[in-house]
Amino acid sequence: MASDYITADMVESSEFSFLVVKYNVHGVPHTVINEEHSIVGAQSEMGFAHAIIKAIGKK
Amino acid sequence: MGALKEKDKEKVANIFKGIEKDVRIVMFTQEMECPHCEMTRTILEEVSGLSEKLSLEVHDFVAEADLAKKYGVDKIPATTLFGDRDYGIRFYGAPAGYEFNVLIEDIMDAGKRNPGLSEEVMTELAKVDRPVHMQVLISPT
Repeated sequence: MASDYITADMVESSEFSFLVVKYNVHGVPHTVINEEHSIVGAQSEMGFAHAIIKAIGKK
Repeated sequence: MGALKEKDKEKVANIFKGIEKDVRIVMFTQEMECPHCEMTRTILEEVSGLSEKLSLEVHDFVAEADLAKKYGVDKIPATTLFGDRDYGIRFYGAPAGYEFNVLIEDIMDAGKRNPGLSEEVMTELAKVDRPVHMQVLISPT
């Protein structure tokens, strides 16, 4: 909601196991940004915000 | 068979009294429903019935493939939330267990037209100037 550029999917891993395999998921929650960058475990809201900025190559 | 227990329905209906503006829940499923699709539709029908500010649309992923593509929906069951616009929120899979709480919270945020993030986080996110696709893989609890 905070940005029109951001879309966020909640994906139930047991229903979509092909994504578990694709992203090499060993534990949940496992967050993938732009199909490339993985973050394992829960993060604070600021933690996710920083990860997004890093993933798009900004500071 | 209902998806939600009576006491849970009462609890959620009470929470929903705080919804300020209309929220559209838009779901994609298919005619030959997979077991999770039917469960999802039942949950969403019950949830949307708990507030006059909520409406539910059910679309067929196959028959309405153009609409699914427009919303970037590529798996089912898919649940999306619309307030004054598409917020880019997609639930893939049945919103059951812990995810049910997340769905209720997201409906509340949509109804307030406010994600409830701190000013600091909003400032950080304002730096985003290109598409960001987040996928959070979770487990049912």
